[in-house]
Amino acid sequence: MKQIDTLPKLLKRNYETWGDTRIAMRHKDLGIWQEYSWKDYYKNVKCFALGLKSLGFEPGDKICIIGDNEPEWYWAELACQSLRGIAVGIFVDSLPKEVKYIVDHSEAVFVVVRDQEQTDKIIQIREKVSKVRKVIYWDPKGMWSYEDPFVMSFDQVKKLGEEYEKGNPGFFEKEIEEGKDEDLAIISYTSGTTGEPKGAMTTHKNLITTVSNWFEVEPWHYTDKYLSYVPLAWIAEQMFGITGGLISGASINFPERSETLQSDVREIGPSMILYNSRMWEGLCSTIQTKIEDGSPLKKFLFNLFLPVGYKVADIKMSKKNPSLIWKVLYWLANALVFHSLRDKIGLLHTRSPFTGGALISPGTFRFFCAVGIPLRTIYGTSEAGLCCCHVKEDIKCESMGVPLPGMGFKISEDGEILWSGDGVFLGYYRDPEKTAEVLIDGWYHSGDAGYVDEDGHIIYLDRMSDMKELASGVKYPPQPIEARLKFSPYIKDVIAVGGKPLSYVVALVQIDFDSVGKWAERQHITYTTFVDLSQKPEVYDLIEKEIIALNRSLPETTRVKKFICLHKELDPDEEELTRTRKLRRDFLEKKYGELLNAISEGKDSFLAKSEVKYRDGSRGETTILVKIKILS
Amino acid sequence: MQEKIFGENKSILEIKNIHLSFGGLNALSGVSAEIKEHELLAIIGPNGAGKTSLFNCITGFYHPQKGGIYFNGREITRKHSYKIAQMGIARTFQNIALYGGLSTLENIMAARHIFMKTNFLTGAIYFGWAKREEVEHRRVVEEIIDFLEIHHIRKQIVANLPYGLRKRVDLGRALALEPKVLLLDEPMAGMNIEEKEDMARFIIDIFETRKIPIILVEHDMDLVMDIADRIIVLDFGQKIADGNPDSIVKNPKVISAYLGIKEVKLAQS
Repeated sequence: MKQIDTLPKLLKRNYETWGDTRIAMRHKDLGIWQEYSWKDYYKNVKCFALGLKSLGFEPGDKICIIGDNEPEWYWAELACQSLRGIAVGIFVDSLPKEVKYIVDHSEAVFVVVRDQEQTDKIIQIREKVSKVRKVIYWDPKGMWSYEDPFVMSFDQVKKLGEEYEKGNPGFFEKEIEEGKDEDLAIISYTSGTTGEPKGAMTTHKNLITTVSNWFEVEPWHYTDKYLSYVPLAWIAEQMFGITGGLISGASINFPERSETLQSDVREIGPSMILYNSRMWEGLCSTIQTKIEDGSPLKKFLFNLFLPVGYKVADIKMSKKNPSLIWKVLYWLANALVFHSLRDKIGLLHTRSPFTGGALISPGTFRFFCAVGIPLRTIYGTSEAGLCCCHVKEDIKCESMGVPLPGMGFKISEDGEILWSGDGVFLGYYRDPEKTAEVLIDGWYHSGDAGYVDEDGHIIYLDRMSDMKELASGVKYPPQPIEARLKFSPYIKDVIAVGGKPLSYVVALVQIDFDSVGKWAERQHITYTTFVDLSQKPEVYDLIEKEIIALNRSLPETTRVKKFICLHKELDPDEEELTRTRKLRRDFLEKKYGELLNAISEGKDSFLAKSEVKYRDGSRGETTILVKIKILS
Repeated sequence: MQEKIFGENKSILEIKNIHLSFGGLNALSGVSAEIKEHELLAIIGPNGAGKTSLFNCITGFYHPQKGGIYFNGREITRKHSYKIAQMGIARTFQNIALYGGLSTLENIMAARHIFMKTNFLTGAIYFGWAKREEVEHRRVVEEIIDFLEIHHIRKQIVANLPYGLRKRVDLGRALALEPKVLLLDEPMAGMNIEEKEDMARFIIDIFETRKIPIILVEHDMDLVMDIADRIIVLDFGQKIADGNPDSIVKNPKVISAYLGIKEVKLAQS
């Protein structure tokens, strides 16, 4: 591997090895899978690169690319890198303002776009990005009335490249040989939830070593089929589709449109797939709705066998071997239901279904494991590349997996996750200050809080900035605790409080009146109102069980020690919630200050007086004895 | 602007003084009009004014009792509708007339029938020329599917599609005839604003890329004013106005046809 140290060199190797004999890409266009061999891939990159060259592209220049996942994106990126340039990806749905910032900040000389919509964005900001010489589009639809020399088509550039090749044979090959592993390959702009986006600079070495290291635990073969769907502006797709495809020689498959994804996936039958967690969640609910609409027999079989799937998935996740009877039942479930379900969604041949981007909800994760699609979480950042993932059978719903080979990993004293190794980036483009903040002594400070559990898995808690502190100085993540508790059908809302008077986490739980009410009816527990139901000892026992289950997945110091069931529902009219039903944490801590004091003093109940604002504007007061329950 | 793009704008379809009656009911009485080679013409008028009847006369579904219709100088007044379609006049229908049990693809493919040279037997054997021909037509159809952005419903049965999409398939089928004149009968009726805007964009795109005249019957006045080059107004089977959108809105005859004479007098006083 040593001598092949850049992406264009890998492309050249694949072209020389496989040429016309193997498919590098498949793209569904006009209803037909258009196939591109490694030779086609190489030729397209070559023509486009030489076209850029004849338009004055120099080593170190940047191009921005905006568009959906299509072969042209790959060609444009590799073409730019062949000339020792740097590719900058921009998300398709970026606003002109955001596009302007990135194009301007990256000092791009060309912008390669998919279609008219993106071309218009660039034309709109043209005055403000004076370095841009041309916009190059690859989908001619709707472009017939553009006569501006500023706008050019992908094919025109390729034609220029063919002309250039005649005058300068061997130039392209020489340029590829000149490339070095420490050259920048891409700059990925991070989404910038805080302030302006920052451009993380990634070298060829970063990309190739991280992916090679990852392949040691998760090998790809040249016979594999990968589905390219997550945006290429995201580092993960750069690692998977571009770098992974080039290193392994696996074919990259592009669906026709996002609307046709489902049927296209089924036609491809990918062996590798990466969806972000939201897409898995969407797929999960699509399946469930489809089954609801299905015939009674299908519905019956599905509902009969799904619990078997869950049971076996749970046994496997706890690293035990299912007993013979479960094996037989699962075989039956698979033969009757799960096999055809996986076939319908096109994931029958998927060896490695990956999820990334954000933590996936445990319900979705278990569902896919149950039907025989063992999801694996992969965690990566623009700054450190691929960091950790689930390896083979070592799957745990709440974890992010184990660090990949070659990655240095530690948890700082504050509980922050730090990374070092070949994957760590050079710094932010044109921003040494921000770089110095996150890159200290070769360790990249991710800003994510986490810890390592007994199996060596990394558990993500929250962003460092969202962590709260207990009186003892220990930090705890309120949002994940709340999110996991809210997953219980009996809990509608919950506030996890630590703060000044408390040296442990207290949960203020608002029960779900409907589902707890139904549960109470089934248990023959009589109740009148929300206040009455919330204070029933049986309800406290019910909620206690949920919290105990949660505590098992938390480290000792941040476990929930005490909880109460709130005697009233949280209400935006009382300013406890925002209109979008998010908790107003500071307000709530003040409002329930006396209650929290009582808890910290070790009392077992509290006489709550709360002012109620009725919807007609009048005010009233209620008093109620709220129990405080201590968990053993 | 139009002149600049297309050069000389001569007339392609002429309607000369046609009369159409059903028993005692005069649907069209003495309507004359001409359609230029490069224009987007809208026909408007109150319900029962004879707009669809005029379309049906042009496309050979009805034959007028008097008068004549000339396409590129050839008379088509008494021709059968399929002959007229073969000559290059394609239309969509107000009430969508697709094959409900077939898929989107099959519906549009069916329109290519008029271009197919192979017969039933060779088609059944599906070998050599017949196969090549099918592939060729499929490509044209796929380009239309791409143009109208209906990839995702390519294989769906048309009867199950929502109304707005069925309208689009109907338009796709008309395009598959590679028309020299395109007649659209209320292409935007019953659509929501977003669907209407999409459809308007498709109509303008067809007009610009294919460079063919389009005749449009439509009730949405804002839209008609936006996209049409010229407007003809019918009322009780007679043409009462003909001109550019600006002159039409000011025309007192048009106002009275739409609002009634009493109201106009009331407004004037």
